[in-house]
Amino acid sequence: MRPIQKIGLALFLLCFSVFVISLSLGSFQMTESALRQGMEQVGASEAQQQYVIDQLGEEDGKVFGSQFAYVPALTELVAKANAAVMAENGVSDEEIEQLVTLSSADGAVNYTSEIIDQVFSPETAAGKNKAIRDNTGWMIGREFSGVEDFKNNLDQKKQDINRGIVGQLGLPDDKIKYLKYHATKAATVGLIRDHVGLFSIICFLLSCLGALLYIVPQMNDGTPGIKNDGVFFLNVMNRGWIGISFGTFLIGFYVFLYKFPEYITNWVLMLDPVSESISGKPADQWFMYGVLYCLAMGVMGIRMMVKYRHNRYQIVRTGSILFFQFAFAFTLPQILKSLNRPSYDLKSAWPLEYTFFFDYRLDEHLAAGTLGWWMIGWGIVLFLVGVPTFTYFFGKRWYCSWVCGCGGLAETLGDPYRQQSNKSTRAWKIERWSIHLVLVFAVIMTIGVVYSFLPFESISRDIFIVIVAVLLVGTLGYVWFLQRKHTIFQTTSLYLMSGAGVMLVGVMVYNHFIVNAENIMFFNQYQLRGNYGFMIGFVFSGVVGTGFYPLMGNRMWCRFGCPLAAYLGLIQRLKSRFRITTNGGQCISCGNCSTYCEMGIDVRAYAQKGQNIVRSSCVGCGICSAVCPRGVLKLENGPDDNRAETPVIIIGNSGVGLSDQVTY
Amino acid sequence: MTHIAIIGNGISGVTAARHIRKRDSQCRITLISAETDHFFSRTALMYIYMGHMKFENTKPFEDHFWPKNRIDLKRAYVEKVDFANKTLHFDNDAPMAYDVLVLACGSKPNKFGWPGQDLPGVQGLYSYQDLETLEENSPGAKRAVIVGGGLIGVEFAEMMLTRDIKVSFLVRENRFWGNVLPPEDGDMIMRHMREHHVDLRLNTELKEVIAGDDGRARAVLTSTGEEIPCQIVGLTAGVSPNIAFLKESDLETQRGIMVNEFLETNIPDVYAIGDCAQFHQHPTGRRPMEQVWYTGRMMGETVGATITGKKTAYKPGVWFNSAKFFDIEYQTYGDVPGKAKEGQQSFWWEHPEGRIGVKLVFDETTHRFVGVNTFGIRMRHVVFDKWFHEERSVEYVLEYLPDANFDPEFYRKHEKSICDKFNKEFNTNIKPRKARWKRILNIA
Ligand SMILES: Cc1cc2nc3c(=O)[nH]c(=O)nc-3n(C[C@H](O)[C@H](O)[C@H](O)COP(=O)(O)OP(=O)(O)OC[C@H]3O[C@@H](n4cnc5c(N)ncnc54)[C@H](O)[C@@H]3O)c2cc1C
Ligand code: SF4
Ligand code: SF4
Repeated sequence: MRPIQKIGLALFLLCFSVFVISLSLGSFQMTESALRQGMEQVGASEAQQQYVIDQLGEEDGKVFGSQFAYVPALTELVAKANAAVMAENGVSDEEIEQLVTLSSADGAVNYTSEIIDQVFSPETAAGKNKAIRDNTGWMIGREFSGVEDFKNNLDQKKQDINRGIVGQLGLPDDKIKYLKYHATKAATVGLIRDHVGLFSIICFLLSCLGALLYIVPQMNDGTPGIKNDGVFFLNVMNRGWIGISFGTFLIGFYVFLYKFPEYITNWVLMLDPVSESISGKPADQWFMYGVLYCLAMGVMGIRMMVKYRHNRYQIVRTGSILFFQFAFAFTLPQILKSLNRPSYDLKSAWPLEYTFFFDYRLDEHLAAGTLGWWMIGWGIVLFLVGVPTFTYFFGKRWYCSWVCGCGGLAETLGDPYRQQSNKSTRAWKIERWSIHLVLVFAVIMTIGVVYSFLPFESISRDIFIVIVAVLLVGTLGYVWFLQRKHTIFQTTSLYLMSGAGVMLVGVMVYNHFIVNAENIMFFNQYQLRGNYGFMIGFVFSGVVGTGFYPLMGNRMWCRFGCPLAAYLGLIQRLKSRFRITTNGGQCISCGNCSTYCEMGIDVRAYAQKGQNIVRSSCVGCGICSAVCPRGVLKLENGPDDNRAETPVIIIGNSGVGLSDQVTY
Repeated sequence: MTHIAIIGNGISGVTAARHIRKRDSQCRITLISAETDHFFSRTALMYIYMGHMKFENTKPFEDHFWPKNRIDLKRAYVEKVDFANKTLHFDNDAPMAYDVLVLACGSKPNKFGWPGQDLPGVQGLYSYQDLETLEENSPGAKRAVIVGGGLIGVEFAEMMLTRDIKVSFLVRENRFWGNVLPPEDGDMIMRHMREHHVDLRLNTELKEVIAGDDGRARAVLTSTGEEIPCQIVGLTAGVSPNIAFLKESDLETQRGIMVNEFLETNIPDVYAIGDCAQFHQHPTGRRPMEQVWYTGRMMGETVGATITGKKTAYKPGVWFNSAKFFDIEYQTYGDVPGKAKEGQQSFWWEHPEGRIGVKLVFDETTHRFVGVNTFGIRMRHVVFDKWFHEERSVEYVLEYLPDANFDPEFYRKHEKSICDKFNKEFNTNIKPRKARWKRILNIA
């Protein structure tokens, strides 16, 4: 290592430590203005704010040494405020008791409108009166099996009513969640707040500078070529303690980012100036995530280009993926945001972009006029026409290793971990089940969501059902048609695929036309959405997908979880010009290709048979081709006929002839 | 039930076993090796040492492949074959009877009786055990002397350098791998080795390995009288068949086990394939022993057919091979001799940066194309194979060279520059044509 690299590494480690430690450097002051600032952000009304402020009491002005002390205090404060709301406006136990007593004066239950007015005067308690009427009106004049039964019913309704009241007058749970984050950020005082600029320079600029000082001089390491010396000796790349620590850090990062952003506000705070200069708005955790994402990809992308400086495919590809991340994923949404337009990453296609058809997104787009319409149209055309077309011509790689953000991080930050992917046939089997189940789940969820959204203008639910059914059945028919010529999918896969498709159509038709159910996919759309968002969006793509880089390779998510990858992969396997050509009989079965395939494809298994590699999971990263010491592999697009056929005999042996076809 | 025993689980033995099983689901197959439990890729030994892979990664088949295909694996050393009674005698187990025997016992590194050749620190690089020995010899070593300039020698050198062990490379001839690489080709590779700080000593032979006080190799004495201090001595002066255990038997052997074109030995039901086989007369008139991966594989395919009832002669097609010299990949198709042959002409193109080169050899009078060496540029096996069968001229080859290009997408193309140079030297006017899938894939 050159001295400059040592300095770079030291600088990076120092800055990274500051970054991590900075989380513990903030102080947080409980003040009226900070609370109000936070509540403004979550859209709390003046009255709602007032309840909270009223509870401040002696906490007012108190300074907390860390967010771990501040957040609980804040939570308690809000809980107190909500309790006050209840005490003032809620239906109390006594009032319920009164209702019961009055209604059952003669032993039997006789609940009447007058009794309600008696307990809740229409003049002085109009709100409660209405709430009670709204919620218990149906009980008037009804027969109950006894007083107990009546009381239970009332009690239950009391809870609903009170929840509604807190939701209206106090702060409901979903607001509290965001309030915690915003109010904590606003409450920051002391070191970090006073030196936001300095910290952001150290954490975001100098750290990158250090990393680059370490990386760029590697340009001069020997002659250009494959640089995998010692990969399997390095602690960080082989599940050693450094690697595991890094993985743990990433997992922690995602958990806090998604679930507890209130504890990492210091990082967000540091980026306020940057965000304000771009979009005029303060940073939020997603902006911080975006910046980190870009920086990690940028720095590690440069590393990729330095490492593969002899390989123009890698350089062009890495350039492309950096471009799409910086321009499309990061900058464009910021610009749209600053123009008060719906933020949209144009390259992000359904079903990876699973929220695309969610009602709030559709509403947001529709509210934005022509631009919004155009965005919806673009999104639909992208997945319905763009994906199959591009995949036909170039293979899945056009998206997965040239455009996609998840793929982008995997190809840059994750590159040092590609050899950790599992190559066994067992892993392959798990992969096929897991990724296709996620695709089915995504389709089910989306159908449910869109169905609930409809009808919209001239698009009725009938039309939607018909379109989806035609798409599904048409695709399956096409698969069967192609399968007649060449064996593309294994018979079991084909039947499973068809079964799933037919079942989906069946369920839709049954629920819509026959039983007329509101939940077209049996489950409530919010439930589906919630589960999908948590399981797939957060756990799979975030925590496991990135956090497990050092443990199970850099494409965990893309390989086992991404529904778009599943969709692209089906097309790549079914009808595409892409293949990895095997160069005749030149393979020496060394195993470099399989070892460095991030998708866990046993490339060698094909190459040593002289067979081309046509696998739905191949993302076309080109590394197998790069590391092959015998020049056996080439990613290319060509005629799709016979591209996956096993050659009769590996070129070179003229003695074992055509009639001796041997397949393995 | 026929019992087929195969001695050696290298590429040739394994290919034979697999092909036998594919053609005959009944017979019993036993694959015997003293080296490792499972087949691994010998060609990848260097990558284990350099940390590109673990041993596990070099196994071309998962461990469950063998039971699934009912190929019994036996880890034992065959001490003696009793051909008369069709029985194998092991070092660690009771004797085993066979009906058909395939000898695929590979090679061992050559040792030419140098004084000190068996000292600790002196070793070849062939087996997994050699790799383990090298791991033991490496810590603390400052310099290695490598004896013999061939492919394994370069790999040995590259391995040493990744552990910061300096390398002196003794080459007997005046050029590296002189019997295979023509002068320009060899020069380029030697330049590249020097670029990697290999201390190349041409026209130099090993005289003696000198022991230190600890009884380990301390230095080598060369034919030029120089003493080079070193801790590791790598013997890579070729390999020879590993057949000592067969010497005292009726089996006919010379350097290797003598076989005819059907890979049959002089004893019925006994075949020899791979590195250990020596042809009475090579089917294509080439050398009687070709100790490379591909020939081992093809012999395995062939003997598999023969043993399962379809008697097949060994008929390798056009010669091809490949290697990698540090960062320069090398591929060859057809016949490119190290020393120019009478009646042949050659053409050499080299990129200004000196790490890419192409050598074409053709008949002086008919201009029929006979062979190509490529360095730092990949070319298609199918296309060259086709051109040889079609007996194309060198001009044709140059015109359609883009069809053969196998470099990754976006790589700079060199065909035009290659043709320009040829045009200048031979006064022709060839323009390379765009690559066409139709021709590459032979689509009518
Ligand atoms: C470092 C290195 C790099 C190479 N690189 C290339 C390359 O790039 N390209 C190329 O074409 N070729 C290369 N070769 C050559 C190639 O590996 C050999 O030609 C090929 O492996 C020979 O295969 P085989 O099956 O004939 O024998 P082997 O692979 O040698 O297998 C023979 C097996 O039989 C076992 N055996 C022998 N005798 C007995 C016995 N009595 N009892 C039990 N077991 C026994 C041995 O232990 C061994 O495991 C390389 C060789 C080496 C050493
Ligand atoms: S097969 Fe090759 S190109 Fe495809 S994902 Fe694996 S390493 Fe990348
Ligand atoms: S890296 Fe190349 S030579 Fe090695 S197994 Fe893969 S295709 Fe074969």
